[in-house]
Amino acid sequence: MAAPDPFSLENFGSIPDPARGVASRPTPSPSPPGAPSPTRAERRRRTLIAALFGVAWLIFLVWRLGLRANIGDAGLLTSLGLWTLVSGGGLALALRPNARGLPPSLRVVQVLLLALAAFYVAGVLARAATAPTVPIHWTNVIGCLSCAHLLAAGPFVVAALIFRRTFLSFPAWRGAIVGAACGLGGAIGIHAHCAVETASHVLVAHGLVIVIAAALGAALGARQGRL
Amino acid sequence: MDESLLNTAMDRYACGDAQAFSALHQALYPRLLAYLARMSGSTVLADDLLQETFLRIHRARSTFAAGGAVIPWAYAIARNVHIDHARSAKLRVTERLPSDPGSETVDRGGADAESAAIAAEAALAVERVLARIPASQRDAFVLIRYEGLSVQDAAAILGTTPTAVKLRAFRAYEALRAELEELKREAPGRPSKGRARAEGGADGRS
Repeated sequence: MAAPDPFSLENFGSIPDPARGVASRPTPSPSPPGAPSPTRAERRRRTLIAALFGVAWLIFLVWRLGLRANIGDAGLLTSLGLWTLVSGGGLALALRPNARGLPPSLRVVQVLLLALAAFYVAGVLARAATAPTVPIHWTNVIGCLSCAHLLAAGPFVVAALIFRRTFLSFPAWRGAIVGAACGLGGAIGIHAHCAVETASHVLVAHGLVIVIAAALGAALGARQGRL
Repeated sequence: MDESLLNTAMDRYACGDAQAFSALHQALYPRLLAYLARMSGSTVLADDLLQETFLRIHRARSTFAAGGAVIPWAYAIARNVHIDHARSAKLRVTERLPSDPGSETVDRGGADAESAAIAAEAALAVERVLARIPASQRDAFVLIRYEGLSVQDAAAILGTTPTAVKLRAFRAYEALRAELEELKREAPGRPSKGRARAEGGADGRS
């Protein structure tokens, strides 16, 4: 026999409703709002254009900066490919509505955000273990950090426009994961340019943009993300 | 209106069919008005918040997921409107106008004066407790008890797990039950907290 549920909702009906008669008030005749509002097809088109712009921005800037000499290395390509998959997949999972069309819970978003950061750090440490150590210098760090931010800026700006007033709940957390994915885009881009694999350099000069973009995304989400 | 028909109407509206708005308005208006009245404690304020809710539904129609359920989606938007209002209202002192009856609209049909007074006092006690308990508990209880949503839908609206929603709603229920039991124990001649509040007429929730 199943144990009785200590938090049974069966007795909720005994609590009177303070607004019982409100629902029975006559419904006024509706007048559709005249404010401009995109349809679903228009939104899909805008999202596709924004995604293409973000990718094109990254490819163009990396091409302008120049690809690193060992870009054809299988290990490096695997790392970059996995980070790209994790970035896109994490974002898709965090934004994908459930069967009822509602967003995933806060816990899912938090876990994905942590997983995204952990996966990046694990990849950096795995590659750094076999790479020669290069002394870290602030000029290298500033250069890579600036380029990483520039790379992330394009996708971040279009994401800010696309996701404005779209989050049903916890806009700061959902903004944070969008920001982190854009930041990871920047980190991937700078990693395709800079050949230094030393963990301290990569984590600070290439990876800090993920944290900063996530923080900015959270701030922007809290201000403008709530639907 | 059947929920699947309503979802189809919202799908059509998201795709640009302006005619579908009237069906949506007809079905959602009473539910959302009652919800906002329960959350804000004022029917006058609920009317204003409802206008804003429908405007946001209109602006965000493209974000409605194909095949999704419009009722929990609309409740989530109404909740956001209430949250935004409550946050902005923190900056200013709000008092219910003398003309605002509040959300208390107890059905007095066929009841004698004494039972009507008891029902009104119980409703005021419920309103008072709902204003006092944490917002997370109030949200969970109102969505499940008064709006008739499933625990899963309420959890999705609140962005949390079904277990957490159930626990929050149960805590709210316990607080309400304790208040109502205390009300029953009070001597009939003694002025109660609920009566005193009704005479004061201030809305302390927003």
